[in-house]
Amino acid sequence: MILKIAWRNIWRNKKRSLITVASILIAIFLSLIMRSMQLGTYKGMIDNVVGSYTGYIQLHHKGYWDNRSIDNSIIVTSNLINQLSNTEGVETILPRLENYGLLSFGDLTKVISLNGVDFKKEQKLQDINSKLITGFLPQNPKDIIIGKGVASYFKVETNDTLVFVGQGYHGMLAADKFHISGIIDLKNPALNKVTAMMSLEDAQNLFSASGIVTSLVVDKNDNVQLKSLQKAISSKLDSNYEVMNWQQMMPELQQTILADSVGGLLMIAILYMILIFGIFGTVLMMTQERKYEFGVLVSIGMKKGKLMFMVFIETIILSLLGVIMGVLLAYPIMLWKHYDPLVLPGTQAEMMENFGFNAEIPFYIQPDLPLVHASLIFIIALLVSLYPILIIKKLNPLHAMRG
Amino acid sequence: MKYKLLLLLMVVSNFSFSQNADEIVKNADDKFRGKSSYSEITININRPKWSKEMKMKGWSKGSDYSVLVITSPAKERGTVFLMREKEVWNYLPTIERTVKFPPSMMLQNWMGTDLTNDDLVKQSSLVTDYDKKIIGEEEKEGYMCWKIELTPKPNAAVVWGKIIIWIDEKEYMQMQTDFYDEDMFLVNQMIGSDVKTFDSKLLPSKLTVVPVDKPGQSTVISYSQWKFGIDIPDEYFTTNYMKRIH
Amino acid sequence: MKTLLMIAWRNVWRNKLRSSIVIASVVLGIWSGLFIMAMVSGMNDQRLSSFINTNLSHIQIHNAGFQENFDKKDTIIGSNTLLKEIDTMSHVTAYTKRLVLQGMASTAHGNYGVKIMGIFPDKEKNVTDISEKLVQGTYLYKLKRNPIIIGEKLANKLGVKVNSKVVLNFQDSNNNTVSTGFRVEGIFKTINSSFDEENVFVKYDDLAPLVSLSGKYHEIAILCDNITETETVENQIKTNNSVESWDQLSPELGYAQEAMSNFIYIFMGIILLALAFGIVNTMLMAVLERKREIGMLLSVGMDKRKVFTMIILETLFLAFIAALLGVLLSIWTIEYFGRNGINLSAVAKGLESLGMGARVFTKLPFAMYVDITLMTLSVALIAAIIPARRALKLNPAEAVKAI
Repeated sequence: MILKIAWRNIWRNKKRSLITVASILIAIFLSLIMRSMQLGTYKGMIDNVVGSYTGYIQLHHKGYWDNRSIDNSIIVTSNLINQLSNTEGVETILPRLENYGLLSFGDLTKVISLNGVDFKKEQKLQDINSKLITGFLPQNPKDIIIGKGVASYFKVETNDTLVFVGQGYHGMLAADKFHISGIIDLKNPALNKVTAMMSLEDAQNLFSASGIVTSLVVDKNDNVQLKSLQKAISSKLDSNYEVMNWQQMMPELQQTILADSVGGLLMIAILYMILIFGIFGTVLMMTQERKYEFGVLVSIGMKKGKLMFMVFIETIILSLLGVIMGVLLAYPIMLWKHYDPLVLPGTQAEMMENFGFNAEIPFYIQPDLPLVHASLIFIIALLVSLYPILIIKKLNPLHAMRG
Repeated sequence: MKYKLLLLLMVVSNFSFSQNADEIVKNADDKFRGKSSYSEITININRPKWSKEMKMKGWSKGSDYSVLVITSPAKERGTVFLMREKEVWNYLPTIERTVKFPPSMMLQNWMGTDLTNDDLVKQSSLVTDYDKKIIGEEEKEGYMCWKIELTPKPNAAVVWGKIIIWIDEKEYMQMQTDFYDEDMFLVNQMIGSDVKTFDSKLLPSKLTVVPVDKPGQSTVISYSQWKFGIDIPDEYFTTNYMKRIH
Repeated sequence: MKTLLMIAWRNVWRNKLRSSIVIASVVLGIWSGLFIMAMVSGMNDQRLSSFINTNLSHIQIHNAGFQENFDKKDTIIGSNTLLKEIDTMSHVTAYTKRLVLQGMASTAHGNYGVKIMGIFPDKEKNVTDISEKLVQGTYLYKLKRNPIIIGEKLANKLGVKVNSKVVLNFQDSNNNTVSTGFRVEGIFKTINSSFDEENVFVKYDDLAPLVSLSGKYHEIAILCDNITETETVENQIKTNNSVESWDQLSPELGYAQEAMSNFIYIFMGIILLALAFGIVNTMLMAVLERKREIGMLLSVGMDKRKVFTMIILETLFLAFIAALLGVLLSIWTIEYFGRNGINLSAVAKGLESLGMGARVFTKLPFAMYVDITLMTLSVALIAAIIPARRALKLNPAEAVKAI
């Protein structure tokens, strides 16, 4: 009965209802767009760095991350690989063998970090091909690619031959000649000065480390949470391994994002303040307008409690409408900007790219976002509706009808 | 008066005692090194999960020049390390190249052992960089030894807080050396054992290097041949000769 | 027109509730815009000045080849004439000269690569603020021979305290390796932990003879009296050496400044949008509520244009009052938090690694006050047009009947 009256009331004064719904709709719409952009920026940042090299999760021999010695390494067995790839959410597993040593050309010698990788798999994760300035990725045995800083130090070009000397697995001497097949720009001056890469097999031969890797990089798909995947992997392995996520491997990046998101949260908080005010202003004016009506209803004998309940039901219906419409309006835009990301303007984009970042900001579209904000705004709308209820409670019908 | 005399006596004896300590360490160092030497060495690297054995031959002249050739394992055979003054050069037969270690590599470990590249060239540091004092006598491996405390001279470029050396009183054999950090915690030990006669000199044929904070880890250097005072042509210690030495 | 002004002014005060709602939302809009701006620019300023004061200075001069490979032979050409010239330049607060060497710091517990800075403590003090960041010990004046100042992070890795010895290994100008013992006189901690890990300071007079570089310098650092004078000073320096300003020395920093300000404009856009909707909704409701009153005015013969002008004027009054209040509130809060800071440590312990302290001090240039206030006012005015036009469409007869 009351539900019916409430429903009719809403349709009776379409303009008023529309304005109320609009204020809620705008609140949810703006907060969603803003947050989606913010979170998208962070996710972009993470994907960029994580995608470009570290990966979401890495598996090492226990203690490797703190003491990066080739002797702290993992023996790759098919059993281990099976265990990993059968874990829910694991997309690919990339084996890497990293070690430092001396690279030498003529009289010049330089300490570098040599990475043996599976180029086919890495291509998917970090698109090395696009980082090549000249030449090709290693194709033949004993091909090597070097950072552009390394190349400029030695003043070498593709097809020159470099000598690597270092220590291999279990103290074995590691020395060989390598043919430069390409020069890469890792978009990071520090890395460019110390990085060389070759195929995993070559690196394993060089370091007398067949079947051995220093890290297994786990690339996850979007459906699985980082922490739960990390847990799932650790639970399958014994204590000889360490399973680390990117946040543990790169605390600075995580902190950068954290610090930035504090600013973001503050902005959201202020946006919410304004939005709440918008809703409150609307409801307040609505109540003013309806005071006369309330007065009439009470004076013709409607119980205040019933009236309050009716107004409450009205608010619920209006808020629900606003929230649902807001999400329906915002989500397509989020989806659109996710698949056709916002691109930063000219000079800024250039700068971003110089730092190895993508100039595109894909919006964040995980369903938790609209859920959280929809329920938040809904609760706020309900709280705001307490105002007219309070007014009704204090209502003096005669006074109200006089206007 | 009596006291003053006693005091004087003590100062004098102390003075001569510390003079002695300097000489003892110098003698031990000279004995170990000789004017020139040739040796054949086996090095065993022991780690908690693996171990490795290497064999090599070495020539040295004074404290500034030495050269080492690896004879086994096969994969590393013919690899040469040349130490000239403060530089280390490395010749690699498989690729026929010579590489000089840059300064940033000098403090890295040498061939996977518990010695650093720098240890290979910084041998005379014990003699020159420390003030020495005999602090007692102790028996090591059945030899009565002077226990000598070495404290770094002010601003000497050494990382140790102090070093204790045991040198045997008859033959000047360096039987044991303990290295302490600045807070006087024991960090490294070098222990001599299996005393044998080489070229009519009595010397510990086995040296064990133990990093105290890394359990299960050590490097054992064993001498199977050791000759002193032999004639070595100067060209042995040049980068050009590295390719021909074997 | 005068009557209209009077009527509008009276209307503003007639319905205090409605007016205060509109005023409050505009005040909130102006305040949030100004406050967020002040917070972001404060944060940026802090980060910038912390990098400039501990590390970068405003301008650095090097030999053109030095920054590439840090070759110790690449000392500044004609440094004495150059220094004399700098002495006479306007806008230069302080300057200092240094030797910069790559080397290793070692103790019994390990070896770490470091940048060794040979400085003149008395002059350095005026340019960089390391002397104020000491957590232990003193600043290179107590110990006579070979004192060294190192960062807390490095001190922990090396296991040293004040008075401990650190051996530095580096190459002299003839590429001979030099190792020398230094004694720790002080330990510093800046908000940039990687800086603390990678830099050590010794006296120029101790270092120069060791590397046979007496009278030669790798680096001149200049502090201007204001960051805005950087370019003026930079242009005064005529030399073949490379002269770089802080944003060239650290493009990341320049980029971060840029990115922050861009993001803030997007945010301001969203805030203003939210504000506009809030005002539109409130005013629309107000028009609905005033239906009877407006209908009355129309039916007693006031023409529609006048009613429109009246509503616009009302909004204008409201907006001006709100702007005044909003700016006053902003000045007050920005001043307050500019002095006391906003403590963010609870939300983000990672801020330090970004070079910002955990406390943010708000700060806003005068021009910004004007910009944002004008922006908010114009949005409020535009927002007033829609409800005013609604009022025009009212049919007087119906409007009076309404309710």
